[in-house]
Amino acid sequence: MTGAKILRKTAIVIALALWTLAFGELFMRLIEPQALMPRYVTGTPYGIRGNIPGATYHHYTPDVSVEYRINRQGMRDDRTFADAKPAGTCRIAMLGDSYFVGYELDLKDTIAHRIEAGLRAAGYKVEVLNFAVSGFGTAENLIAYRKEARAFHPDLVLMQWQVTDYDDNVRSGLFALKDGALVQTSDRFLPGVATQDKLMKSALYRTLADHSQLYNFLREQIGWRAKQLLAFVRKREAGPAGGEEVEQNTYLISPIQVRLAAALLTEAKAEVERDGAHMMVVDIPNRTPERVFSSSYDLMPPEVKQALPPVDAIPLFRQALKKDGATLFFPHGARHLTPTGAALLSGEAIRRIEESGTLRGCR
Amino acid sequence: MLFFTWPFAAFFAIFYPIYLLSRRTVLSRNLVFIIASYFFYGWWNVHFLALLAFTTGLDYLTALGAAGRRLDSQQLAKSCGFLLLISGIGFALNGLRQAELLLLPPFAACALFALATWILNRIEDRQRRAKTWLLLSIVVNLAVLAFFKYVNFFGESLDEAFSALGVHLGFVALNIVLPLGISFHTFQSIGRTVDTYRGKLEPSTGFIEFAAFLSYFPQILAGPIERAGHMLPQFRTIPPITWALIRSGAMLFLWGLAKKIVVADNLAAMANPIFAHPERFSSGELTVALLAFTFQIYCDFSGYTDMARGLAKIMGFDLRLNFNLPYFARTPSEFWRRWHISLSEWLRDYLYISLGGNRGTQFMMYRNLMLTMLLGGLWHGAAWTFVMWGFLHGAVQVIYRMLNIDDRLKRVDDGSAKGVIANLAAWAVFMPIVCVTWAYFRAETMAQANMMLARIARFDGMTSGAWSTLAFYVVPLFLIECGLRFAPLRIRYERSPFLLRYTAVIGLLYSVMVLTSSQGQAFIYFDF
Repeated sequence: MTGAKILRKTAIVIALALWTLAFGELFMRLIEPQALMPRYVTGTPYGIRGNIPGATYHHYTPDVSVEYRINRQGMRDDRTFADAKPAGTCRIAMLGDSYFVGYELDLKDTIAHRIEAGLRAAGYKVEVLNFAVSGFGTAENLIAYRKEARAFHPDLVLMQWQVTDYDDNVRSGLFALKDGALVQTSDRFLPGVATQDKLMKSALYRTLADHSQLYNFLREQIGWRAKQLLAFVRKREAGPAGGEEVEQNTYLISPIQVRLAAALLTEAKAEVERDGAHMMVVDIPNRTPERVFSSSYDLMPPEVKQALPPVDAIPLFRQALKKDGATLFFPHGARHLTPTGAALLSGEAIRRIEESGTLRGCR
Repeated sequence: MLFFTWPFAAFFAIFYPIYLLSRRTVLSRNLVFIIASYFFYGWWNVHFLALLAFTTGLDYLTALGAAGRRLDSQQLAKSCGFLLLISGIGFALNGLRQAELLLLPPFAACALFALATWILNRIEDRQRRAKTWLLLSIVVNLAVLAFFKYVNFFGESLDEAFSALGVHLGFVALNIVLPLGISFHTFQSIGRTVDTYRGKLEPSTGFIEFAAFLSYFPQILAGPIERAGHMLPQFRTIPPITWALIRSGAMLFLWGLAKKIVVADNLAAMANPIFAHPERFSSGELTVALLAFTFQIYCDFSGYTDMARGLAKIMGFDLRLNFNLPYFARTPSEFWRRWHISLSEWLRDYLYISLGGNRGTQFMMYRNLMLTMLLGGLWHGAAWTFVMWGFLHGAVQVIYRMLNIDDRLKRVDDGSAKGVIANLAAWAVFMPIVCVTWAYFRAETMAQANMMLARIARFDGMTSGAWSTLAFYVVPLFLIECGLRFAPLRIRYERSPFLLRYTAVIGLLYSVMVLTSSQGQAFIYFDF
């Protein structure tokens, strides 16, 4: 084959590849618009992911368009918080994943913002600090508490719980159970962060991440499959399942996963209490099957449910659905809570906080 | 192992290079087929490998016998040896457990083979001997099918009938797992024996080719129900594989995949919740569900067939056409020439004609038609709803024949405006009938189907928002099929510029990637 022929063939292959991508982008936009949900996360010095300090970015889904502003402390907030707690003010630290970050919600509709506004309206002097990062499980929440939240002296820690935590905790490999005791097995879980950090330096990549539906579709698909594969491998590494697996919200949960999650929550509660604060778990209801809500927290051992009864909004969700057919999770995009869903959950959290009397001193 | 799953992709990626290497000789290629097909079938359940081997062994012998031959010990040894080998492998894969289930029956079956051979070889009259072998094949095959598929249905039905008379039989339903594809390979196997009996097919003494034919993995689970006359010759040669064949097979596979996971599965997600509780929905929503199922079952089954045919093409094999745009049919007889063609023809050749076919009085012809359709309905599933489905199709066929509608349509079908209107009118009358029959096919009970149809007839709430979702999946399919039916779309496609063809392929690929239903469904016809 002559050089000219090789060049021509190479040009054809490149042209076809470009056409495939362009057609794919067009296909997505016309036939099945995708959510554009770039993740602005990076590595932190303590080995887990964190929001990129000072970042401003957007998510576009068929349901909403949302702007995210991350403060220089890596929290989704327009304020910056002093290390020292203002006198007479109580602090709530929120630890969780994209639900607590407030994905698909404007800042004013986020659970963090609603809880703060609700408590202030009830006469509490309170600051809510949102340490949530998309993709976190209980294991990362515990590390985030130790390395970040603790320094801000919270009076109350709200730790998010949802079904994905069972897999997330195993997948991260940060903690494991050895002879029934919780041990930290790794100090680092930064999936894809090094690559993402390099890519984020490129303006072209940022444009793709922010605007290409094809890119976002492929990234979600590949990321989801990689997460599933990693969870599968780590579950195998964690040893025998310890009994029959239970299916919840399309996840298969083994007894060993339940025990690990229970141990992590128990440890988090102990550490928070040693710091003189209180801890509550906020349960995000399962939304599969459609419009039937259930709790993955039900799988927890009775002693954990007794020590850490979750903020449970399922009765309110069911009531709202029955009464006026409320949409509590977005039907498209990443299917997070709608403002209505977030309002109900926040309302229940406020009720439980008031009932507990934890913040009595700041009223 | 479903064609659209990762395990199948891995299986095929390993199988195909081995298959290409094995094509040096027919024997090695057929052996590779047998190993791959039994692996494919055993992936679902190793317990039933022996059953497949039993059918193979039995029908290898009965086809020879039905041709009037006297069987020799070598042929008996091939059947028994194969059955015992497969049973042994199944037993080993089952962790050497359940010997009473996995080893004893095969030994008993071998004893039965030997006894049958010894007894039937003693019959001097060739015709009588052949007929006895044929009967043995039909009785044993249908007995196996009846045991796995119908024993509970008939038991429960008898129990209910006697209960109405005040007699309690106390039938206890057996916990029986239906072997996948049993209805398909049993019919395929019986067909071969009948063909040899009728002298249409010279039975081969080659056991390996027959075992490869009967277990051929692209079509073992849901057809097409192949004729030995069409397929066996392909197992006796090494068919050429060209790039054109691979490309065309891959395209057919992709088209079938899109029909299955884009159209059928998404329509299933619409239809299933409504069929689960039809009493909660309006006429409009029930109509949408019925239409969704009408296209779901078509895309599900024809999608599977396209994938099977595509895979076979990639291997250089030709599986018969099983669907030919059935929803363009204007009459029931045309519908059955286009829908599940391999079953329709099987029923015609081996049941309808055996019952007398068109011979005799008109009443006898109508009786034969009704019986064939009733049994065809029952073939699909052990439930009265399937019998009703068959009955309705039979009744409609009888009425159309009485009114001589096919002949009348032929007379006006001359391309004139009158002809076009007549064709359209015939189609517009017949299609709703097809949809109504699907209500019985899909419903859990007769009462549910009746209730659904009665509610649909009220015509309330027809403005359901689900129409647009239904249209999103059905309209593109309908337009493509219109192109295939009325314009030479296939030829135009093949003659179109490369970029257009390339774009069509990537369009299909993107559809498969993006529009896949989150509620993936198994193939409907695996249950039959």
